[in-house]
Amino acid sequence: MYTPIPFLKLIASAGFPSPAEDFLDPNLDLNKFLIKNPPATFCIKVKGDSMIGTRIYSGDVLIVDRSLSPKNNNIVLATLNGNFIVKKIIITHSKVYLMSDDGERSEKMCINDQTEFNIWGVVTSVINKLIE
Amino acid sequence: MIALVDCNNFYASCERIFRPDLIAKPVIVLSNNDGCVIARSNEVKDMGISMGTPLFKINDLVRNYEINIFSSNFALYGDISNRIMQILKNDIANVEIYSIDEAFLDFSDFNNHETIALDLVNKINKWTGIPTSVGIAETKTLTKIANLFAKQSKSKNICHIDNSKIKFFTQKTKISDVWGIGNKYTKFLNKNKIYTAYDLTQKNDKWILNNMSINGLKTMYELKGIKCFELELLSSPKKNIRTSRTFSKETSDYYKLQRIISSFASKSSEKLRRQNSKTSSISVFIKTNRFKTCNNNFKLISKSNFEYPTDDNSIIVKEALKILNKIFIPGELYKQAGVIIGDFQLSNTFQPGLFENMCQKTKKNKLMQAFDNINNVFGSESIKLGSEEFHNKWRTNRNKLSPSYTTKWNDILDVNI
Repeated sequence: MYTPIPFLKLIASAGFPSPAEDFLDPNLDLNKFLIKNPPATFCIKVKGDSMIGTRIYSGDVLIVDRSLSPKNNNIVLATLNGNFIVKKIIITHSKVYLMSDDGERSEKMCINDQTEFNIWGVVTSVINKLIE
Repeated sequence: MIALVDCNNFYASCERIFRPDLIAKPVIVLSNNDGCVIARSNEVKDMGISMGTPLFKINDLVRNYEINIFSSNFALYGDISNRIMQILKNDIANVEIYSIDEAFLDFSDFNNHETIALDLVNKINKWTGIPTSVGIAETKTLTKIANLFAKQSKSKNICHIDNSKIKFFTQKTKISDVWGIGNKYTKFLNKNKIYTAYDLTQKNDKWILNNMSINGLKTMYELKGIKCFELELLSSPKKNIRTSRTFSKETSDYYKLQRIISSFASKSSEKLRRQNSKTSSISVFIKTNRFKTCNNNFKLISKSNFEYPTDDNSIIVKEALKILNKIFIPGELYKQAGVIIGDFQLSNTFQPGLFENMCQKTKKNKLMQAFDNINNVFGSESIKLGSEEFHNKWRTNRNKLSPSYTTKWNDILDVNI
C-alpha cells in the first residue's frame, strides 16, 4: 500500500535543522481512529431512509465490528430470514426488539423464537461524506 | 504440542459471509476460467460431487438442485485469510501459515489445549464468519490426521490425538490420507500390504529408507508421535514463481501468444522484485486443450538460463519470447500458456558478474523501481511493456464472480434499509 511520508522529513537541512524534527508524530490515521479491531471490521453501504432518526442517511458507509456483542440501543447489522437489515436494537430483561426510525415515526419489531435472526455485527461509526 | 487450524470449505464459506441467503444451501467455487470444482459446501459434498470435477459434467445436478456457482474470487479469499491469520497471531505467539486456509500453531506452552482450540474456533467464527476445525497432536503429521477426524465429527470441530490414542487413530487412517504420501507412494505401499497409517509405523527404518526417501522415514516417526518436522516460523521466499492461465478461447495466433507470454513474464518479474530476488532461469510452456485432445494432449516447454541473475522486466521478457519462438508449432490450437522463473538469489547478497555493465545496471534498477512505484500508486498495470497485451481479452472467464466486498469501495455490501 502507498504510505505517505510525513511532510517534515522532506525539509532539506541546508540551513538550520528543523527544531520540530525531534517531535515528529506520525500522520493522523483514520483507520486507527475508526477501527478498533481490524480483522473483525467490515464496511458496508446503506440505501434508504428508515434510519434517518438515528442519523443514518442513504448512501452512508457504516463501519461494522463483528467482534462486539450488541448492547441496548446499539445499531446492528443483522440477518432476518436471509436478508440483511440495519436497525437499532433494544434489549430489555425479557425481550429483544428491533427499531427503525425514519424521523417521523418509528417502528418496533419483537424478535421471537420463530424468527430466523442473527446479529452479523455492531455498527461503530457512520461515514457521511458532505462533499463527494 | 502442535495444533492445526484448517478452515472448513474455505472458498465456499467465504462466499457465504456476505450472502446469508446461502446458509445451508449448496455452494460450489470454480477454478480459474470457471473450469473445475475447487471448493464445495457440505451440501455439495453430500451429493457426491468430488473435487476437480469439470463443470460441464455436473450441469444437470447444478440445475436440479439449484447449486450456487461462483468463480474464484481470490481478492476476497486472500483478505479473509489475512484476517484469520491475524486473529491467530494475536493469541498464539508462534504461528506457521501453511496455506491460504491452514496454519500450524505452537501449543507447547499450554495445558488446556482443547479449551484454547475451542476459543479460537469460536472467535474466528464470530469475527469473520468462517467455520474452522482444529487437530491437536504431538507432531504435524498427526495434527493433519486429527484435523480430518475433527472435520468428520458433526458435533465437535476439535480432535485431540494424545499419545495413548495414536494407535486407535492411525489404524483408522488410510495411507493415502497421510500428509506427504502422494499417489505414487500410495500405490507402492498398497502393493506392499500397507493400507493404513498404522501399517507404515510397523515397518522398520531400513525398509523405509531403502524404499522411500528420508522424508518417508520422518513421516513414519511422526506417525508414532516423534517430532521430525518443526514449525517453520520464518516465511522463506518462494523457490519459483509461476504465472500461467487457461484461455477462455483457444488460439493458434503466434502474435497473441507473444503478447500473453510478455505479460506473464512481466508479471513474474514484478513478483520477483517484490520478494527481493533475482532469477537465474526461465521456462516457458504452451499447452493444447486437455479435454478435447485427450489422446493427443501435449505440452511444449523449454528452459533457458540467464547470463547474470536478473529482476529486469525487459531482459526476462526478451528471453521468454525467445523460448516461445523455439517451442511454438504453427497450426496447433493452444489452450494454456505459462512462464516459470526459478533458481533465485537474494538481491542484497548476489554476486555481480565480472563483465557486467554496472553503470547501465544501476540505471536499469532505478527504472524498475520507478516502474513498480507507478504501478503501486496508480494501480497495477498502469504502466507496462510495449510487447504486453493492452486489453485483457485473453483474461479468463469469470462469469460468476462475487463482489470484492472487502477490498474495493465500489464492491462493498449494499444494504437496503
